[in-house]
Amino acid sequence: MVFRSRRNEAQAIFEILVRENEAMLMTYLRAAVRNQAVVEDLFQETMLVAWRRLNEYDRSCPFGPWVRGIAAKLIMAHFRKAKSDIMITGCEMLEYLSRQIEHIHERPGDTWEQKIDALTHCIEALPDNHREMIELRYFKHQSALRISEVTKISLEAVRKRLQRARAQLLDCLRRKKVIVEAGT
Amino acid sequence: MTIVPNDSDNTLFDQLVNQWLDTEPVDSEVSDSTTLRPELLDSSQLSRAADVQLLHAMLMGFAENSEDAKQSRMDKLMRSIRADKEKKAGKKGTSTQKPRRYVGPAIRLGTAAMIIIGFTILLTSLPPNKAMATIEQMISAIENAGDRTYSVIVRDQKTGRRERSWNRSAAERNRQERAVLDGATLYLRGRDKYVLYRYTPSGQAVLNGSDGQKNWLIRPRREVLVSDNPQAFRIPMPEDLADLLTLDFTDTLQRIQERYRIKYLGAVPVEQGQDVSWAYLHATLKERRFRGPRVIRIWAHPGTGLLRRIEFADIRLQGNPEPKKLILDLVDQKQLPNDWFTHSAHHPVDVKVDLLSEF
Repeated sequence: MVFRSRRNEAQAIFEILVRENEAMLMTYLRAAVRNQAVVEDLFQETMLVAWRRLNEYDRSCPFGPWVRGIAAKLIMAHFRKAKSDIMITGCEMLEYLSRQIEHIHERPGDTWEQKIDALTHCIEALPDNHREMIELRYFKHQSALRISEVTKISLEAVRKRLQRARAQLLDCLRRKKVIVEAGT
Repeated sequence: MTIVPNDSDNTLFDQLVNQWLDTEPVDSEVSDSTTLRPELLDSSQLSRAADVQLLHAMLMGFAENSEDAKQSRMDKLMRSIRADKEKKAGKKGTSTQKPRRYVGPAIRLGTAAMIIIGFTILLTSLPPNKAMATIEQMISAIENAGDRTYSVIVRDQKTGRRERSWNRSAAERNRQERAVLDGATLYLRGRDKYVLYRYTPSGQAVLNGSDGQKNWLIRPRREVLVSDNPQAFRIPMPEDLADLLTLDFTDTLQRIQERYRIKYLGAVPVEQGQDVSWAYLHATLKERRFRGPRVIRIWAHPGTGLLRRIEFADIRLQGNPEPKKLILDLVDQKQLPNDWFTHSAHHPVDVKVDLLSEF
């Protein structure tokens, strides 16, 4: 039988918690910050702060909201340095995002991907021209400008289609109760 | 420039939010200082903007879908944590010593080289090799282990509560007299001998077993069925596990090895607060085309590889849409009677036994 030191045990448990919350935290950060390199940095910084403050974490409470609280402070600090990365900031906005994410977290499913699996069905249900825009933008990582060049559609029309596609996806996710209506 | 949207012009507002999402941070189309001040937005605009941003984030994460990116993120974090621990340990180690004024460059270079070599050895010796080695050790342990008794537990994924069938109403019990997995007990010897005790909601035992040669089935008030066919009387597994979990744990572990990305996460107690630590493996499904739960958690004896607990998360049971977690938990290792894996050890001698030649 191997008895590890408490510190090593804490690290092992922490790694499990990080793995279980990685996708959730990345979603939270991506929702608040546009620059992907900054999102990656904030993820590392948030989890490192969480590790250093692990003795302050109450294990009877869920890990997700605690770690999002740390992330929110770091997002605000980043906003003070680089305003262009964040469109709307402020505690109210971050709290709203945190509530939506907590609602998703409570959905059935062991992993984040399973909890938002309904999004696959919503994408499949989009009209062809809107689904194509979503696939190019997100699954092929093309910018709006590049999509415009590839599809020979004006940049304005591409943006409009993306906007409409997102609106349809949001309606679908609300119908499927993945995202809750504001105020409910 | 700070934009304060007109409350009545939500179309323009939605357009602005979407345009922001589709503009690269380096583009000059949207000014670097274009921000929306939350105190000047009404709650409806704030939530609409947040929902679009959340959807954008979900789509980005959904499309990433790369275990390599996640693993790289985790590796980077774990390296930072190890460096942080070493830094703290270094500070503690020198705190009681007199500060050295002169440290030769050669010593510093030597120390740095040692740290780099140490890190390289540490990183190359860690997962996935350790995870695979643990699985191999577990497979070997099955061949050599004595008798093992496992408790089968089904918990609600969300609430963690056990939903035992006998908590149901009498009407439901009358409707459904099928043996259930929750509350079952599994006895194992070697790789191919097993007895599984399951119970119906009214408490009647249904037994499936194998003595390594013959499979058998014992049901309440009915003849005992025996067959030479190894596929006979297979236990109806939940659909998500049908292609993965068999009572031959060697087979199950090999399938997990093939289809899952397995990470060794050190020695961890099975339950929080317990003193004893077990080698902990966290397995995630490699590809969606494989059938099976997305996550499997495994605890094994760090010395012998004996399977202590295995958890299959987020499975659906027949007729129950709520996701469940199926757990097999080692509860005993006592030696069972020699004939325990034969059907005759579990029923009165006067019960009729039907030997099925073709099943």
